[in-house]
Amino acid sequence: MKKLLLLLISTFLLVYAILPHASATVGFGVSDYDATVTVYYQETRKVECARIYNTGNETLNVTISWTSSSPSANAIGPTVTWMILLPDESKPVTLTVTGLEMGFCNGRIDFVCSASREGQGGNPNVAGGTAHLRLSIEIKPVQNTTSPSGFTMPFPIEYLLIPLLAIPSSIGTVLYVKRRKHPSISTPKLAKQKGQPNDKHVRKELMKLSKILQETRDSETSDDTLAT
Amino acid sequence: MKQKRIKLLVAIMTLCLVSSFTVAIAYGGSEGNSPGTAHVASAIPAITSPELWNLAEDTNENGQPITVSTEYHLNFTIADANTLADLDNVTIRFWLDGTATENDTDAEANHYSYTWVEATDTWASLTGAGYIVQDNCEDPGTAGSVTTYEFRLGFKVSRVALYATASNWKVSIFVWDDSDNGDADQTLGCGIAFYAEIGMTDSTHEWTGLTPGVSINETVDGDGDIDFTVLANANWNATTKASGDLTKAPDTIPLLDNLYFNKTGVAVNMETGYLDIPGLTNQNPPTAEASPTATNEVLYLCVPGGTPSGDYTYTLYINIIKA
Repeated sequence: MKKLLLLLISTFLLVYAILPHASATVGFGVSDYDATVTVYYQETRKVECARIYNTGNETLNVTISWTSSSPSANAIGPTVTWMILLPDESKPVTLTVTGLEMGFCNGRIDFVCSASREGQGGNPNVAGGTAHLRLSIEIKPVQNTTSPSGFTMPFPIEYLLIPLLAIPSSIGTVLYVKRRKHPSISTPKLAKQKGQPNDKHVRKELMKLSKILQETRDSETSDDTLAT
Repeated sequence: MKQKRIKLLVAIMTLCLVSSFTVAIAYGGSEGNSPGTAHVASAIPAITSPELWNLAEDTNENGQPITVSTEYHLNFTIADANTLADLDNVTIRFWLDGTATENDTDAEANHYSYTWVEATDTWASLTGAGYIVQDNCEDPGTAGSVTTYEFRLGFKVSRVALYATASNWKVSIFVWDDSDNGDADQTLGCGIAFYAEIGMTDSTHEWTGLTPGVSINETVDGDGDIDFTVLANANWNATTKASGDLTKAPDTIPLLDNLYFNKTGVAVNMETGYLDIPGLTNQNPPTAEASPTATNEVLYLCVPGGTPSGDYTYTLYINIIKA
């Protein structure tokens, strides 16, 4: 009886050892859209740039990072994030980008995925992936403004209002600065200030001159009247 | 005047009487058989409004790059004045122009065919059952009584369906009726985004019994390499990097001059940025999902003299990029 039991157990162990077992496999794929996207200056928008796939049979933690390869490195508010992918699952990857500087901004999205390695020693071998994105940061195109009467302005109303307010205020500022710099073109009140002792004399002389001129004109007009 | 009116009235009445007699004769004057055959011609079916959509049908994918192993919808309307019971089949072909022609046999890399047969009301993909999404296909069924219907094909392409930009992947839709009348549409097209996949056959690696100061570089334990598989839909390069120096706080084994890698040829010093693996550049893509390219990376480690004993660790990264 013992022998039979031993035989059964050993047969079971043998069969178990021979049968194939589902071993944990890490499989990771990336579809690189290699997209070129226009983002308007100061605008924030979401950009779908890749799709990632878990093709193995273990849940994956995927870390996503953005690296700019263009001179205007600050053109994007980078989004570093992570995603969890279940076995046989695929998900689109979306970056949130903000056009901070005008121009082109090229960059790379790096994916690093790791599965749980509990109970396994050694140095982990990790699958990675890459996608590419090109951003063109531009001024938002002008939109036509239609008035209630149906008249369509070829530019926003702000484009008209801002100069209308800015030009007079600029002229006022310039005049004020000139006055401060050249008191000689100032009003009579300024001429009465202390430290200008000769001004009274000059005014008196000017008053005299103006009286003489007035008298001369009066006499000329009376002569003309007599002549007629 | 009054007499004239009376005469006119009499004339009209007489005319009405005569004509009513004539009609009565025509209807009941004779009896007989005249076999009345009305031949209705077979109307030619027509395809209209073909559209390529994503799964949610909120993005038109015509002319755009689609992604592998992802469901898309091909919607189109078919009209047949004889009702859609008159249809025989609808056939859709999807192929990469330049590498295949419309009538080539199916292949995961560059040619797909999908059919709907009216008599059995069945959809099928000749390329493989995995490339058609039966649940999301729509049709009028067998002996449909309507004359117009918007069909939908739910489909996917293989992870080795070749990469192409713009509209190099062409779409043709054919409809045939029972009288062999047909119509075709070839207005749609799309690209396919680059896809690369890595399967880590060896998930970890280690060296044991290393002696400091020995000039011979040691490969990893086991079969001496890191095994992995690659699926891609265009020529590819394998690249690799390390997370940093091998560390056992506070001691380190620097990467520089100590950790090397290659497949064949000259070994390259490992860095923290991705570098191409010699012998694994510009590799051809596999032609079927079931047959990924099995390959490996060989690592060599030299431990400098004076290195304290212990377990030093780091992380190895492998990445596949488009060649």
